[in-house]
Amino acid sequence: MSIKTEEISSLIKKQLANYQNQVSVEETGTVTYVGDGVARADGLENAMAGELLEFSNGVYGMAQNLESNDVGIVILGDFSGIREGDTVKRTGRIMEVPVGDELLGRVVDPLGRPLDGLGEIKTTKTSPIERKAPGVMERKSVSVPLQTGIKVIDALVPIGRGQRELIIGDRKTGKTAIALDTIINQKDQNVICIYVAIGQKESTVKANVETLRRYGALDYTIVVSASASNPAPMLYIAPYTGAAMGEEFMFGGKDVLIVYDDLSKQADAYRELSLILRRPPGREAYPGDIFYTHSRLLERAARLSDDLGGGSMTALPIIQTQAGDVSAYIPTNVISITDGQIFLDSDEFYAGQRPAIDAGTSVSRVGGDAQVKAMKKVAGTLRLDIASYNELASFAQFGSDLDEATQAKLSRGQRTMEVLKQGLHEPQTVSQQVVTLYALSKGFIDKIPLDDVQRYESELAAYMHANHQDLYDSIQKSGKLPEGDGLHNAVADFTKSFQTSDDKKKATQK
Amino acid sequence: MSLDKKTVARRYARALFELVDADNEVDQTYQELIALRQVFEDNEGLESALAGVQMSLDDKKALVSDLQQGASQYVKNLIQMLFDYGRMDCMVAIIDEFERRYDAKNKRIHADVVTAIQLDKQQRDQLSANLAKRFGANEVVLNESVDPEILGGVIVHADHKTLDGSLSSKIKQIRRLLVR
Repeated sequence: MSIKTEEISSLIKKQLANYQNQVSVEETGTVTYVGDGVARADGLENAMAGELLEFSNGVYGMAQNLESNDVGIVILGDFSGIREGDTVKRTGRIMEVPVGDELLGRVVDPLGRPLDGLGEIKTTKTSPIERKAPGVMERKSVSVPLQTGIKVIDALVPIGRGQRELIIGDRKTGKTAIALDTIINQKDQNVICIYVAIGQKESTVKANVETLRRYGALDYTIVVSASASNPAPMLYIAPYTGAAMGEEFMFGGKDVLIVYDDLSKQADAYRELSLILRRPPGREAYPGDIFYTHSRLLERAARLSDDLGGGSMTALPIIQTQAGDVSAYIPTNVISITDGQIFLDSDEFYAGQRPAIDAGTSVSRVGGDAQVKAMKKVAGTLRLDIASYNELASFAQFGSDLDEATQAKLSRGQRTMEVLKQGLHEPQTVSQQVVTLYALSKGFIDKIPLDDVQRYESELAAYMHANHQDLYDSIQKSGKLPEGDGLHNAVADFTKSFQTSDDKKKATQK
Repeated sequence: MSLDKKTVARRYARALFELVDADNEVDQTYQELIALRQVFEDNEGLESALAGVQMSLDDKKALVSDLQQGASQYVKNLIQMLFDYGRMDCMVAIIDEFERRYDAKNKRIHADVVTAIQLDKQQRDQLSANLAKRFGANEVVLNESVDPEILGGVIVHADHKTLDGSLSSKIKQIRRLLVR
C-alpha cells in the first residue's frame, strides 16, 4: 500500500483549520492587603465561598470572607511572594484533595502532596475537602466493636465502628500513645487508618511515623501532617483533608479509623485566621463559628447503612487541656459533640498507672452496644469496683485497723488497678483481655502478690496460648465466654502452678 | 467603625446618579465630573490639601469656590457637600463609581489593553468590535499601554475579567507543563 500524500495533507489541513490560538478568559481581582497567611482582594465579584483561587505566583488560596467590597482569602502556601497589586484569578473549583488507595503508606501535607520523599502519588480521583456529613437515612447504629487493644479502654469505654470518641488530657499524659496503639492494633483487621498531625513538631511526626513503620502499621495508614512551621490555613484544613481521604474508603464499604491529633491546635489556627480576617472574637477570642468548625468535621464520622455499602469512619479526636481544666471552651465544645471521652489524668500517669485513664470521668455513650458479650460479662462491674476502691482507698489512708471485708475489697482494688496497667505499643487481642479479666473477676488473682500480678498476666497469656488455644479461638469467633467450665479449669490449673517470686526465692535458697 | 472610601463612594455616587437621572442631566453631569477628575489628577495634592489640616479654612473655601466655577447646580452642590462633611478625599472615588454606573447604563465598557507594540487604527477598530461583541457592549473605550515584556499578543482587562492572549504567559504555561 502506498502512502496517499493528498489524503493525508487534506486531513492535516482540516486539523490545522480547527486549531485555534486559545485565549484564556479569567475572572481576576487585585490584592489590596497581604499579611500573616491572609490576603484581601478587590474584584472577584462572582467568587464562591470556599473557592480555590490562584495568585499570580502560582500559590493557591481559599476564599473565606465574601464582603461587599472585597474578598478575604486564606493563603495555602508561601505568602511571602505575594505583593499588593498582584492579580488573583478564580479557578471555579472548590478546594479538592487527591484520594484513593495510592495514598496508603504515605505521608502527605494538607493539599495531598507527598512529604516523605517517596516520589509522586499517582492518584486518579479527587474529593472536595468540605462535604456534608451523611444524613439520618444514610446511617446505621453502631454495633461492631473497634478493638483498641488496650484493656482498660476495651473493658470500660468500648469504642464502636463509626463512633467519635474524644481523647482528652493534659500535655504528656499519653494521648498520642493511645491513638497510635489503636492504629497498631488494627493490623489484619481490615481497617484503614488515617493519622492527622496538626501543629506538631516535625520531629514528633517523624517519630510517630517511624513507630507505625516499625510495627508494620504504615501499610494501611495515611499520615496527613501540617506541622508547626506551616501557616495557619494549612493547620486549619488538615483535618478536613484527612476526613475527605477517609470518606473515600468509607463510601467504598471499608472501615476507617481517623485520628485528629490534635483539635485544640486546629482551633488555635482557626482563631488566628479569623482574627486576621477581622471576624469578631468571642469567648477566649475564638470566632463565633468555632463550634461548627468541629461539629461539621466530627459529624462526618459515621456508620453507613447497608444500601451504601455499610462502611464506617471512626474518629478519635484529641484535645489538650491546661492543668486538667475540662471546662475551658474548646474541651466542653468537643466533649458535647463526641459520643464519649477518654480522660487521661496526669497524677495517675506520674503515679505509674499507665495508660492513665480516669475511670470515673471516661465514658462511651454508644460503644456499649458494640462491646463483645464475653467482655461485657467479665467487665460489667469493673467500673463500680474501681469507683468503690478509690473511695475506700482515700478513706483507708487514715487508719490501719480495717475489717476483713474492707481489706479484701482493697486488695482486689489494688490488683484491678495493677491488671489495667499496660505497656506502650503492646496491644492485646480481645480474647486475651477477656481471660485476664475473667481471672480477676473470679478472684484468682486475689492470692497473687501485688508485684507478681503483671508477670502472672503475661504468663497466663503464654500458658493459654500454648495449652488452650481452642478457648481463645472460641472467644474470638463467637464473642461469648466458652460454655462449660473449660475456661474456669484452665485458669485454675495455671494459678495452681504459678510460682510467685517468694516461692522462687525459697526454691533457690534450698 | 468608620466607613471605608469605597462604601462612601458607592453611596454618594448612587445618590447623585439617581438624582441626575431623574432630571435627564446624566450626560452633562458626566462630562463635568470627568473634567473635575482631570483637575484633581493634574493637581496632585489637591485632594489631600482639601481634606487635610495644613490649610486654613478660608483658603480651602476659596479653593472650593474655584472648583465650583462653571459647574451645574448638582455638581456644585456635590462639591459643597463633600467639603462640608469632610469627604473631599473621596471625590475621585465617587467620580469613578459614577462613571461605572454611567457605563452600565449606556452599555459601555472600559478596557485596559496591553500590547507589545503600538496598535494601528485597523487593529484598534477590530479589537473594539470584538470586545463589544464578547461583552455585549455598545461602546468600548480602549485604554492602551505598551509593554514589550509580553513579547506578542494582547492582554485585555475589562469588567473584572482578564483576557490573556499574550505570548509571555503562553511560554510560562508551557514551562509549567514541562516542569511537571
